[in-house]
Amino acid sequence: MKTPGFFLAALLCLNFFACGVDDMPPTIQFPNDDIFTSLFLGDSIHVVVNFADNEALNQFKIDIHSNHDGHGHGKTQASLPKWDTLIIGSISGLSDAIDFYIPVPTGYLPGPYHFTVFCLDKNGNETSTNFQLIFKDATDTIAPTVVVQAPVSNANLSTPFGLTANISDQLSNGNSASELNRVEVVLKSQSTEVEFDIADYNAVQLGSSISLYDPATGMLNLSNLSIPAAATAGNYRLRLLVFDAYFNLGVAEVPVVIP
Amino acid sequence: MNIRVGFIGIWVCISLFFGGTQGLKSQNACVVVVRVWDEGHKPIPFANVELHELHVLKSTDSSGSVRFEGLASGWYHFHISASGYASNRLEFRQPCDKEKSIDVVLALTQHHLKEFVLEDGIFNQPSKEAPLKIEFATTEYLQSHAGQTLIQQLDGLPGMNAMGTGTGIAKPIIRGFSFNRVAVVDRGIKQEGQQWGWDHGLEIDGFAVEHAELIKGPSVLAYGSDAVGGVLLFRPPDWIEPSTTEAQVIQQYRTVNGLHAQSFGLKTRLNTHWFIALRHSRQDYQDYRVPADSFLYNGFLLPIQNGILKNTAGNDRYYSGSVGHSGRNGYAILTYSLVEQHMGFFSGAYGIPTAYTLSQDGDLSDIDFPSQKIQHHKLIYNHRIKLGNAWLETDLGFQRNLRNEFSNPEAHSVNFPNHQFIEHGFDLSTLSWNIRYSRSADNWHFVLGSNGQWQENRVQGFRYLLPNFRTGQAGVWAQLKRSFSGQWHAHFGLRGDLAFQSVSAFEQVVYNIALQPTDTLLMNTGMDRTYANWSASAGLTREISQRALVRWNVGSSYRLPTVPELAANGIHHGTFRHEMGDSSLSSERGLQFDFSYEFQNQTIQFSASPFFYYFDRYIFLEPTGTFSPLPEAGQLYRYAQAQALQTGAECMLDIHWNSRWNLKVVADGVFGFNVSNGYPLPFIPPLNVQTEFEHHFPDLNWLEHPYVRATVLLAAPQEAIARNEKKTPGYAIGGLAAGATFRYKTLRVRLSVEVQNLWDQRYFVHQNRYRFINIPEPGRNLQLSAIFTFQQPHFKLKSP
Repeated sequence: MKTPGFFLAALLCLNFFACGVDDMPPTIQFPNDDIFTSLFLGDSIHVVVNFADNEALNQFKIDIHSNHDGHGHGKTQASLPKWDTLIIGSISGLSDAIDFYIPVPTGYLPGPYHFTVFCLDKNGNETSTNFQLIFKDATDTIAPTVVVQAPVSNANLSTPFGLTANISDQLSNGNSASELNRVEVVLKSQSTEVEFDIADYNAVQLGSSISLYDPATGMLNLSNLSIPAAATAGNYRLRLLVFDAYFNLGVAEVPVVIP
Repeated sequence: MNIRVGFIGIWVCISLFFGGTQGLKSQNACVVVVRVWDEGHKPIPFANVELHELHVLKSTDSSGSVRFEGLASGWYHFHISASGYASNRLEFRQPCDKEKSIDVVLALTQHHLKEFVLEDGIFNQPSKEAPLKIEFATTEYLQSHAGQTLIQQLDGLPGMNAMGTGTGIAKPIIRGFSFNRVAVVDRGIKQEGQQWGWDHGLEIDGFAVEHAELIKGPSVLAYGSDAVGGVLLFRPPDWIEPSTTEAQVIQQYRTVNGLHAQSFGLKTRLNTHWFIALRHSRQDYQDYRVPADSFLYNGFLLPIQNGILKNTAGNDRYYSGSVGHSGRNGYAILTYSLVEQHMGFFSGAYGIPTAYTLSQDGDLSDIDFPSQKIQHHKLIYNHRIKLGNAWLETDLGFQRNLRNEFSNPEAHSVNFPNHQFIEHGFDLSTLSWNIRYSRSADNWHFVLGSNGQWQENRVQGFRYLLPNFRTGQAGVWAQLKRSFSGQWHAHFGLRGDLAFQSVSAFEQVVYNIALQPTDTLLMNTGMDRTYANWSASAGLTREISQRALVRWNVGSSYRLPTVPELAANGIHHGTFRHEMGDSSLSSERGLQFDFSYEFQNQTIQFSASPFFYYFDRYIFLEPTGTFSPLPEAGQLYRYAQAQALQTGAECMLDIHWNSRWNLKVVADGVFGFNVSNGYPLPFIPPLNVQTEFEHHFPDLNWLEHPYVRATVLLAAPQEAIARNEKKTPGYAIGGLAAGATFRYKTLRVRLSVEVQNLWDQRYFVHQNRYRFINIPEPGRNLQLSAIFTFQQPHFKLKSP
């Protein structure tokens, strides 16, 4: 009889211990989140954040990094470097606030960035909030115009196939521009909405061969493209996504059929 | 000349490896005849009788008899089993120079899975006399319980849980203990494969495992420092009858990840003495499906296209070969195995997800970055030799674990040009030994043992986590078992250990964009540490009656801090955080109490095993409440020590109403708390109850053990969480299974089909890694399995 009593006492003891723990993460509040709507390189981000916790706040972190390739790293090789910054600071008490400006430098790649605020309390409970920022460059806010020439509408597609398009672009001052940062080709099923990535080219690849992309004429010639094995017969839309040097996006698409 | 030298070399190797097992011909040889009867005193033909110490397996003839000749004087024991009967174990002393007959009576049973004699693997003593409860997974159990990995197959044993990463990686949890608090022992040698890592699975061929044992509770005494929580033991494959060859082909298919697995095994016993076993297994699996269309990364909701986790495909290759020799005085087995694994990681769970790495590329089988490649070489030598009335058992092992984790160097990370895409590379070499001298008399059994290991670890990669290190550990232990009036069995054990750790300092070079070195960062300082530890245990087993027994055990245990706990400093992607060691940590010490009650009659098996463990200086990772200065690293976690309690219980009820219907319920719960601040310990599985309802159909001439089974697993929500750990909701998942063995002459074909996660439930396993990013467990899975086994006696040439 002694053994069950011993374990019961132990469990009650553990229950007592478990009552006093803090598993409540702190909270983050942005009193004014329209600061993220329109930002140009060279501007400053006015960061105003309120933090609160049930026991004691300890640290905050602001992390800004590129999201040019869905989450910032990997295949994108742009002509301009991508900007990132990390700010860690102390906060304390049950509630605290920060109010400061983060200057955004020029000379970096404009386009999509992630802005995340993290907060820790003294016990290590963690919370975070994030936004997507689009940094524009005043030099060029105009998206490129893309016209797909081949394949033609409702063409039957088979592996290998080619894609030809004409791309024209201009800077904000009206001067013509030709440099591209990225080109993506996507096949999207009209019935199931499933998307397949066909190909993508970064700035280094696009700049390496005139037969691939001729900046003088704006002609893009993609060849030896393959239909993914998982794409079954049916109607699709072939989408061409073109990002110019300042990461303005131009899109063109053409209906195709996989017989 | 060269050929002659080669032959001499081979002969020297053979003599060295297998010497002593044959014994001297001049020694007295004797004969034992075992006669197997049922309770009505009718002989049982075709019963299997194994002379354990010499690996000699024979079947009884039509008169229920089997004859063993040429035995030397000494202590032996037999395992006797027959279909439909409860297995038996018979210990005897052979004085020799005469023929001895032994009669064994087997009782009828309705428990279908007891073809295996329950005995602990180290002391070779009946498991019912052991002070700690041992769970067994027989061949039948393993073949009839599907799992994504070997560890998940064993998940249903009381006290056992799996800790998984996707479909290809799983680690054992015993009573809430995992990582370096659990020892996995394969053929007597502790598996060493960087088991501190969450995404470091087990490099063992699941198809090659015929029997597994789960020792729950402190087993430091016989297995060393890592066995604080328990031991998972994989026994070597059974030997077959002399002059017989057995071939096996296994085919397996799973829908959830398109897995195709094949295994080819060959065993041959050339004569009474020589045994050869070969096996090659391979499995290729694709990206797996989950009942989810998004996951959470760093606060961002990102898509899972088509419900398929991209880049979770993989392939495994296993090669193994054994050669064994059995003689009058013992046996020796030399085994080499090579495991090659290549598997992708879902990019959201390892590194930084990008649009490219998340979108489908139309190929479900390709393995892109991030990924890992593992190569595990293992050479094991097992030797058993009779020394008078005693036995000397020796296990020697050498392992080399090469693990490379690949990813694209990120913009923020410190460039490390020599290593290209290797993020973490580990090259771990381990030399291990176990030596046991055991001696028995009528009421006592004594074992004197020594075991230890020497390790060297080399690291590479563009990201730092661990330093280079060397460690060594050696211990001597003794255990005495004394039986009183056949009902009380007392155990006493004592162990002493010495150990050293030599950790190199590590300076990471910082490069600029032009890959010119610009600076160095000191990641950890060097250290040399030595340890001396002792542990002791005392246990008592009382056989209350033929049907019931109780066990008590109290043990003190210790565990050395591992090198990652002392010197880690970097992002461990397996846990999404910056982990930092503490070089001032000292050995963890524990005091562990175990109790179990077991009851068994013809229709019911019941066991309840509560346990209560207290640790002084328990080592665990604790959040610091500060951010790591490294990008994408999240919070800084530091290894710390505190007093801790871990307690819980397992219960098992197995009811066989008759030979057709069987209900089995297994429940286990663990609670672990940091005594100093009241927080629960991390990675503790929630309370769970697994119910199996099985129906057996009658056997036919050509059909054996046809069954259907329904299972339901209920898991409670896990609300008792460590600091900054996430709570997990409860869940209920179901499964169905059916199978049978078809027999044609000497060919046996076992077919089984199993559906897991029957209603495609979206659920999270608390201790699994992908839960952190809100990715549920795999969806509904249909597994088909076919095992072809063909056994053939060797043809004998007629003498003219």
